[in-house]
Amino acid sequence: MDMISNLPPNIIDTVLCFLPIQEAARTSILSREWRYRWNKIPKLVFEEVRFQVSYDVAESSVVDQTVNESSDRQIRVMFRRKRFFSAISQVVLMHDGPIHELTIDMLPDDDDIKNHTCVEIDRIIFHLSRKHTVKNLTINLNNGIYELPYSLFSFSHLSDLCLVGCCFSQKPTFSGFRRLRSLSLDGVYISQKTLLHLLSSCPLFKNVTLEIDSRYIDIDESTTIINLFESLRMIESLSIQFTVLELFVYDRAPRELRALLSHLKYFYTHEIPFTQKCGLSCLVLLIRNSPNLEKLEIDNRMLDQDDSDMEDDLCTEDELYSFTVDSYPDIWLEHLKEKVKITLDYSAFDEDEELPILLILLRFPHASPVVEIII
Amino acid sequence: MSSSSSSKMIELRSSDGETFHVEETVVLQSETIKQMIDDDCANAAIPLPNVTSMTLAKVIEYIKKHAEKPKDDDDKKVAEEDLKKFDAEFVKVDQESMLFDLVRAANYLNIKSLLDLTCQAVADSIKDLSVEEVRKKFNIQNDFTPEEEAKVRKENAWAFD
Repeated sequence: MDMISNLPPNIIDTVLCFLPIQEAARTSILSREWRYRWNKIPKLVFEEVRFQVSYDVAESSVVDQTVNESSDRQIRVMFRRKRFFSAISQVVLMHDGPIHELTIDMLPDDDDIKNHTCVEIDRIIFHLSRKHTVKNLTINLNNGIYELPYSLFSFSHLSDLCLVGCCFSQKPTFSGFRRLRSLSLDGVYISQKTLLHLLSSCPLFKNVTLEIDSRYIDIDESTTIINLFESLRMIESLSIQFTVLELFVYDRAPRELRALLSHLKYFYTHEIPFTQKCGLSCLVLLIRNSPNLEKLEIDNRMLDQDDSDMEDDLCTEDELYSFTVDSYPDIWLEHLKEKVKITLDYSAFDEDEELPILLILLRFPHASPVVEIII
Repeated sequence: MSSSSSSKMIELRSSDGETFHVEETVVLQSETIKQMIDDDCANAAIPLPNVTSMTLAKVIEYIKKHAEKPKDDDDKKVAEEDLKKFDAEFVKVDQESMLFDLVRAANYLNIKSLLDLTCQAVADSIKDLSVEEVRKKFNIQNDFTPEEEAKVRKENAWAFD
């Protein structure tokens, strides 16, 4: 018996999972014993970037003469995508055993051929949603306007869901991902209502990452930041673009939440406008209501000060400078286990307006961890 | 609270009869041994009939390194980098058979991170090789007839283009 073939099956599975899917499939012709081994692996990762084709291959396979008018590059893109989808379909059809992890990672579309729908993806998602085995699902469509099918909501066993660059609307009968622990939405088009519904119907949430450009979110003015944090009451780690929080705040954030975020240990946000009412008040709200927060990070390098400088939203000078330790005796940073990290753009750091919040964080008498300011 | 210096020692015996003394806190990375300790079966030396002394020594080197705790935040980053380097060096073994022995030991002792590390190393060692090269490397006998092989190739044509 050779060295590798007689390893326990679970080890062979693990090794095959670490190979790019093409290479795993190529083990089928090693020997009879290997023929069907690769199609039992529980983790399938499809990356379009690995399906690049040379021009010659693409050209020789293009029969439709009208395509000749397109550029060489477009032919290659079309051919690559066709191969990519056909590979996914074949693998999924041939697969034997549970699929626990699935990743579909696509390259960006050309701007002029952005697709709103894609039947191939819909079919694959539909098929897999019926199997009820997928626990980790990552779909990166790198597109922004393609709307995921409702069958996505039928992945009842999901524990980790990561969606990038796609659209997402709510299935009316959706009753929640009961086992979902980790959610990451990046560049996803979603309505405020759908977002809140999604968050509040997943009782086991531990980690949530929301990197959604607020331009992408349909606004629903009936929801507040209190609703938002209520849906995140079990959260341990929250990473959120500040503009998403801002959508839930009118004028300024309230002082109290209905329930403490008692599980929250890590909070990360970026582009938080300290000179605006909502910026300061949101941060204070969060710190005040997270008694077990261990780590706080703020990255303001990309903050465009001029972008949102609406007079009404700005703090008055009094408000800014009244933001001192003494005025917030109930804010404690003592429980933080690591330094508060604030990253600023050098030019922004120079402005006086940024200072009050920095002063307060720096001056905290009880703050055993020091604030680390990275410029 | 017991400090690390006074931590309880566990005795492990390899297949060839050599004994190793390892701190309990370190050896708990092995789910298999943890189970034995929990079941109170670790009062005498724990026999590991599937692991040779040479392999066991390597495994202990690995779990000792991975049991080190960084003191503070700054230390943590350095430690992470250091651990990455250690892992990369650790799987650079002279003989292929040693890597396979480590894979089996990690599997038997149920040390997930070591199993992943060694399986990744096996995968890396065959990545970018042709089918013929993989057969040769692992001494796999091709028992397909040419017709059968062509058929399997066609079946998974997407992977061979």
